[in-house]
Amino acid sequence: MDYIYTFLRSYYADPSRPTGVNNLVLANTAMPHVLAHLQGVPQPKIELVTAEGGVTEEHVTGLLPGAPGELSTEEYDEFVRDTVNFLDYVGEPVKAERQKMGVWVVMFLVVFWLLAWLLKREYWKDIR
Amino acid sequence: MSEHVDQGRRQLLTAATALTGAVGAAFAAVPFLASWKPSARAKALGAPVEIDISKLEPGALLKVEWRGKPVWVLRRTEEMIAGLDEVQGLLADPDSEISEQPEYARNEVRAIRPEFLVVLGVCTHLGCAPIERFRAGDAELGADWPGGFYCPCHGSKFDLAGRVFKGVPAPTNLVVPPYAFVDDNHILVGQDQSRAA
Amino acid sequence: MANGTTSGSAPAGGRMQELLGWVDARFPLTRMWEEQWGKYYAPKNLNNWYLFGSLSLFVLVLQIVSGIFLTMNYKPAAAEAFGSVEYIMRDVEWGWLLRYLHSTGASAFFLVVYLHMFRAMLYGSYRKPRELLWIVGMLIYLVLMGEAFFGYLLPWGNMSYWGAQVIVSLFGTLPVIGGGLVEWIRGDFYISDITLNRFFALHVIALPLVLVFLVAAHLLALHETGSNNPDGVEIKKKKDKDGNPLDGIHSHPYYTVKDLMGLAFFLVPFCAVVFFSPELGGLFLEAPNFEPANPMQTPEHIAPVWYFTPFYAMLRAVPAFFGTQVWGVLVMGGAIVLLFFLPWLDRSPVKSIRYRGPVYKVALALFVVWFVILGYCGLRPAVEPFKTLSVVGTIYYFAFFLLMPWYTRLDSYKPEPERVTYHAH
Repeated sequence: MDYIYTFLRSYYADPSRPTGVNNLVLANTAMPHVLAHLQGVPQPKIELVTAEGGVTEEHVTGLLPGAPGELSTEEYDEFVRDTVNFLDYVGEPVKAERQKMGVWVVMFLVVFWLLAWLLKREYWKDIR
Repeated sequence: MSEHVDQGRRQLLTAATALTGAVGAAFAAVPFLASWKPSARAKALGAPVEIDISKLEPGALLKVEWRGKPVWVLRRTEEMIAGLDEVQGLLADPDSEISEQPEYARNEVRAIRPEFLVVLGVCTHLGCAPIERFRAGDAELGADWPGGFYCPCHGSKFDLAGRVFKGVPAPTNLVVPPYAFVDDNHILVGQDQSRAA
Repeated sequence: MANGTTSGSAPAGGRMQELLGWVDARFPLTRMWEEQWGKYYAPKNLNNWYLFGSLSLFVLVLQIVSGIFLTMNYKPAAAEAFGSVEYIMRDVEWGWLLRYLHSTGASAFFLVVYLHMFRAMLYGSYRKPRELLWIVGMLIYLVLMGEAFFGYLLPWGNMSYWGAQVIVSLFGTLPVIGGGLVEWIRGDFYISDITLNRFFALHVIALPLVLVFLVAAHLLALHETGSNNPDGVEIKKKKDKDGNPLDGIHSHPYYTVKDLMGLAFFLVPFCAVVFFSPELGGLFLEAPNFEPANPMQTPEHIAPVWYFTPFYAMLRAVPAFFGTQVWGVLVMGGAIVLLFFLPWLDRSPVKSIRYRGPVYKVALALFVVWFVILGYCGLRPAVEPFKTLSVVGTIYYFAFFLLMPWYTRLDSYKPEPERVTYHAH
């Protein structure tokens, strides 16, 4: 869930890709930036990183604001958050209810176990 | 076995554990039994059905399926409505006192609007589908037949308001389902008038 | 017992006695209860390892009941199966709980059965006179594996599909008859609607019937020989003047309450999984099974459910040679067949781990370690280091059993006590 949220916020322009975009989270993703019209397409922040062997390479280390989309940054983040939450919900609509119920079930069972344990101990006093 | 057994404590613990276990078992049984209730899909399929009555001729019968049962919409003619009065004395439950219908259809015509009769086409005897014999003096049913519905299974007879005649196997009038007029041309079956938009 | 003239005013208890007497004259109800449980003498020193037997029985009942309710909404047809499972999960009231109970129950079944079998290995419960008890138990395990395998195809997810594909193909490696056999099992040229339909029949009626019958035989055999115990000594050898074992106690109420306590204790983590994490991180329900079966695309990484993985790792550990892969299949089958012979492989003068020498203790400990490692390797892709670990694990597994007649005989041992050891608490 958090992954998809971050993923949808991590596209950047990359003309070398067939889709014209690349992603910080999943490099060379095949999925186009379907929400580009809402977010706009951020530009990559490229830094030169010198590896241990002394080879200097260009690395995308972050995002810079690019062409603006229909939504502001805050609006876009909110939109993505709502979308991802919704997807998570429809994946298993009963999940929240299930987990709430589970707390009661487990608490009940712990009480039952305690009683059964006391009962066992009581009867086993007979055994020497 | 041992002389030092506290029988009171033992009985108390046995009762407490048995009771808790019984409560737990009862709770555990609920999901299993409840899974037999109509599912969300069955409920969706059983949702109210809208019927277009604009093309229904006077004297004609329209059959629509709702929750797996035939719903009949009969557009009664003036004569049909007038005839309802005359058969009054031949009926088993003319005022629909023991029959099943919404309060707003508990009248002589058994309808919201006298012109339109809406009933379930299910005989109240054993669930066969009655057939329409609207013409008075039908060849098969005899010269004194006033017109109505006739069940081929066991010979139950109903008048043009779905009211059962005396002396037939069916005990009660045909069931009127909850329904409402959306507008002059549309009936919604499965939802009461008060809840209609 | 109340007689005819006073029955009209007999108290409720007397009436019950009367009814029971009426039944007992026509059906051995009381006798069965007393022989099989009520007055069955169990050793008083059974420890918590002995809870897994009754827990297995509980899980069997749970699987049968939840399974019956699942069949009420499941459709055993390729076109509808996946959708009907989603229907159960979303549209049927409490359907999600029925399914999670069943899927978690499957894993729980293997967990308690493995622990139950390990208990037998700890205390030598398979030794004379309980060889048949062990063999019936092994048959139960075998049928259970079949039951789990057939059941796994039913959701018709992509992992179901390819899992069945791989396992069925194993039979294809058999020389001469292989190809024909595979077609016969599938009833088609690929895993299809026909296969699904017959696996459904086997899963919901054929194997459960066999399973229930075998479990009854297992319990009858147990109550005939009497239970073993952590000391591995026969309680029937020391009897009181009435001929009852001195170290035996009635199962009821003592083991009734103890098993009840065990059940309550088991239900806590079980329900926690059902309600909080029914997939258990992909171990109980695998992600690729949340998409429908697709004969055109194998899931990226294919592995059976955890309870099969030790044997799956052995299958993969054996390379193909002489142009056939049948060797891996034989090794996997042999690993299970060997277990049947355990009562005759073990030649130690004592039964229980408590009185065995260091060699067996170390061998058994390493056996557990390697079995778990094999299980882990079976879950992972066939790459290093898992490949080498699988090979070593397989060799150890076979050495553990095949060398057992020698090392158990040569191993030192402590004398068994005359009576069982028990400290009241």
